[in-house]
Amino acid sequence: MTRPAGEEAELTQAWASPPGWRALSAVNHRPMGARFVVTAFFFFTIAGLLALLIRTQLAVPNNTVLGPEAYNQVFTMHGTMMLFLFAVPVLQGAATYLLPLMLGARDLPFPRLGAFSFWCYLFGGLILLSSLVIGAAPDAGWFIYPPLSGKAFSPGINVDFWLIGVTFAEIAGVAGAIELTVSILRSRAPGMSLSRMPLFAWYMLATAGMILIGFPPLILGSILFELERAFDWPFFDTSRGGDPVLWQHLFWLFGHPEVYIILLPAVGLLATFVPVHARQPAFLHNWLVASAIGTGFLSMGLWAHHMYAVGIPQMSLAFFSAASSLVAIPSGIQVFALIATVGMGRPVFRTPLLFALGFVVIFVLGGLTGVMVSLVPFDLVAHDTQFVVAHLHYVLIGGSVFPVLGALHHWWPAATGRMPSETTGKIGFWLLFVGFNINFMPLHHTGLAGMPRRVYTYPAGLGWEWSNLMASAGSLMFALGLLIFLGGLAHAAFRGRRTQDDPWGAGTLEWIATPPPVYNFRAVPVIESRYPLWDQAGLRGAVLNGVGFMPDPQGGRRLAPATTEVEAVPEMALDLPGPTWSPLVTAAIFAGLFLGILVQAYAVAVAGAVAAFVAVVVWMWPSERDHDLPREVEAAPGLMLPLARGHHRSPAWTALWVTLAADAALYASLAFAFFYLWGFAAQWPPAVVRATLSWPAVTALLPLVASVAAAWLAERAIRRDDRAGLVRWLAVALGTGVVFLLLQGWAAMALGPPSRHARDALAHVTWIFQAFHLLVAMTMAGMALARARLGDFAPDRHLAVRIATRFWTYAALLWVVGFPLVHLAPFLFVR
Amino acid sequence: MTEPSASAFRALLLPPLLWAGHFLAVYVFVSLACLWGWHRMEVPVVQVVVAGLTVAVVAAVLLATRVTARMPGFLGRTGGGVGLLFAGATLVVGLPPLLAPVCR
Ligand code: HEM
Ligand SMILES: [Cu+2]
Repeated sequence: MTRPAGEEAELTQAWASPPGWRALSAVNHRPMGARFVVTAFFFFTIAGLLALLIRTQLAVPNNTVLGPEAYNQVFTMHGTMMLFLFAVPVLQGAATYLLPLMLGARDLPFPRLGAFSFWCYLFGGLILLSSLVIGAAPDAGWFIYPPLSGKAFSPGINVDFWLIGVTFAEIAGVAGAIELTVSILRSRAPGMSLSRMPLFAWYMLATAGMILIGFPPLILGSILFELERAFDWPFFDTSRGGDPVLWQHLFWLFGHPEVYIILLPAVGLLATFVPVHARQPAFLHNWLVASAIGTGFLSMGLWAHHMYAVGIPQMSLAFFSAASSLVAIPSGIQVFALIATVGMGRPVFRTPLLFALGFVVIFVLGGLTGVMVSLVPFDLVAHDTQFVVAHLHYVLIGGSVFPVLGALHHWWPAATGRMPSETTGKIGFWLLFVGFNINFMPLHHTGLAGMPRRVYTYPAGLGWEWSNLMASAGSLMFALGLLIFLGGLAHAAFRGRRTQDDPWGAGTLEWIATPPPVYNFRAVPVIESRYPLWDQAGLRGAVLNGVGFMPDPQGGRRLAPATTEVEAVPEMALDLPGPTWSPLVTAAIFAGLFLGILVQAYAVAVAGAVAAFVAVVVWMWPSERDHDLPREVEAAPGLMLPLARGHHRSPAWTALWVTLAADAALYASLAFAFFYLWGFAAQWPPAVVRATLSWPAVTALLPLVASVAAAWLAERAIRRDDRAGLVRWLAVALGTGVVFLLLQGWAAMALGPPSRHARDALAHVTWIFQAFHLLVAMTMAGMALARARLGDFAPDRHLAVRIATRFWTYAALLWVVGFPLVHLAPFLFVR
Repeated sequence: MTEPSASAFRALLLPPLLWAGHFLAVYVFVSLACLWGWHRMEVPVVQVVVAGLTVAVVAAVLLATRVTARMPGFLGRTGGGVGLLFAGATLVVGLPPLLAPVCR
């Protein structure tokens, strides 16, 4: 059967982005992914130049290229930018670009969220970078430990740049993780059950889960830290019940998963491109999946191994040391499976495979030194020496830079339609590989010979000269390799030989057409294998001829199937939004808000907060009423699927739960802070003379419960097609919500001043946290109310109401934990 | 949850979630016990509780894994691997309080 003429042009038209500068309003996943990757490499270049500056300074003893202050800024910015602005975003960009293509999807399920994530990342990165330009860059190391980074010892604005820029980038990461999780779970091509899902998707799923749970502790820590620096709320101040070690816990609760957040997607890329060049399906596929899941969870339980030298209890040492050694098992399985895939296949040693082997060699060496430092007695010797610098670069460059460069070469034809040069690729690889080892191998020796990290110079005669000089020479070679490799790719993008479809003979869907058209797939195929292009004869022809799902855009809509989580059964039809300025404008307003906080211009910050609120409401306001949408669309000849928008099982429903999981991690971090200080900080329990329960605090519980009930009654009303009842009950919920907030504010005035003691500060953060969530729920409910009054919603289409109800309930549940912490705990403190 | 989601959950997520719960329980319990001086009691309360918890959770993980491993194909094999990994991991987390002196 042939498709109607003109359908393909209509499809192109539906998915096109505007030309010229208006392309900035594009939300399609490929421009977004490309922007992520290019921006990440921009920050990589700057951080790399800083590294060369470090190596120039350290090349000879008593050097004076950089003074101590400048050196502190340079190494801090190098580490911070490499990790927060390069290593994580570049992989998020790769996933944004590749995942929909691999999953047989036309786009990510929330294109605007993806765009928002990118702009937040860009603005956060630029805020951080601007500190370097004005010479006030963060200078307390990439993990900015207090008390050094506290107001007393870092009075300048430097550390604030770190806190604000990094938090902005973290928010981008969480937004991206929500997007990717839902995409992997709900937008796979029909038939692509979990067992047929490409390995990269598995690895990204594990990574996104880690971001959702691992980033919130740092976001919370940064908020607390900024509150301490700006308003003197003493979370990390030992004289008033705080504890600097709390920062270390919150930081490493994030920081250790971070290492695997960088590693796992990189392994996922390897596990996808190595089989292509080995011409052999990934060996031990199931074990690779199990290892991804295993690493994801295990890495959450290791954070304190960065704190062996702090003086934490011996018990904890044993506990975390044991857990740390465990993670070697899944890591070992992954490396073994990759080697075995090459060994069992008929490998063609093109550039990507060389980078894979580079990964194996370098990462395994880094893993060996990792096992060494995970042993407490050894770590006490090596801690804070150049040995650790060597270790972390073996892991990070081996585990992230090499796989990413290999992946760039491998997917370059898919992105540009042209072949990269094997000659420059291979020359680049060998320079990078040899240069890397000349650079970092000697630093193991320098470290064991006693040279600390983070010192701007060293005297002659300690036996550190030759190894430092060698390292500096190696860094130049490494830089030259990068220049040749990336230059080769850039050249190929314009002058390279044009490729035919699927130039490497790969098996996964992104290679159906090279480069893919804007709409990715002429029709969304039905998948029956892990390597569909290898196993499903005739698949390419069928897709190109429009046989499959949604070949017809039905009046210029961006249609794509949404499927079930496990079996990928087609469930409904997504109708995705086109170009819009909302994400860019909203992110820019947030940037203004954060800049206001940064320079302590609180009027600007408040104005920014109001503007941000308006921007989010405008963004969330639907362009069409759910009520008016067609109930069903034709997904394939003879198959009707319900439209996802407003449907109670739409991907937005999945996104709600994913978001709540991340938010719960944020709240759990707050509770952790409370119990940690209670258990370990000096000046605890706080000197409470007389504990009383203020009557507004208790009375407030009543309207809170009433508001939750009203929200649920509202939902019940619309399920019974009673729109008037919906409006009425939502109004009741809003009213009782306002009463609750007023009583809460009143009760808060009876709490101690936040700067008195860490407990008082935590009490204030806890009630504000909850109040903020209730405000969000009230905004959702208010918008639902407005929509209902305009005649929207139906018994089978009222997703916005369902989401508001769930969020409202969640906000109330927060207070189940919060109320005892704020109002009951003092009874335990009375002396 | 639909039937396939439930079995995928049991195969792939239940063992790690049990491990995480056990990890938290042991960490919090040992911290609190040390804070409140329970390790100085006549009976080795800390060790007994940790050992009991560990045995119980390892058994639960293994049980779940046995059900999983009987499933055919991908979920059976991958879930089996995940289960074994986290049975071992749970055991390793439970050991230190038994081998090293607690609360020092
Ligand atoms: C171009 C190659 C690179 C060179 C020559 C280089 C060099 C260095 C040196 C010499 C230090 C130690 C500074 C000191 O302690 O005094 C350092 C620190 C660091 N590097 Fe790199 N680096 C490179 C690439 C990377 C990459 C790709 C990453 C991450 C993906 C990275 C992450 C870090 C981190 C996290 C630190 C610690 C910063 C701190 O102590 O706060 N580096 N680098
Ligand atoms: Cu770690």
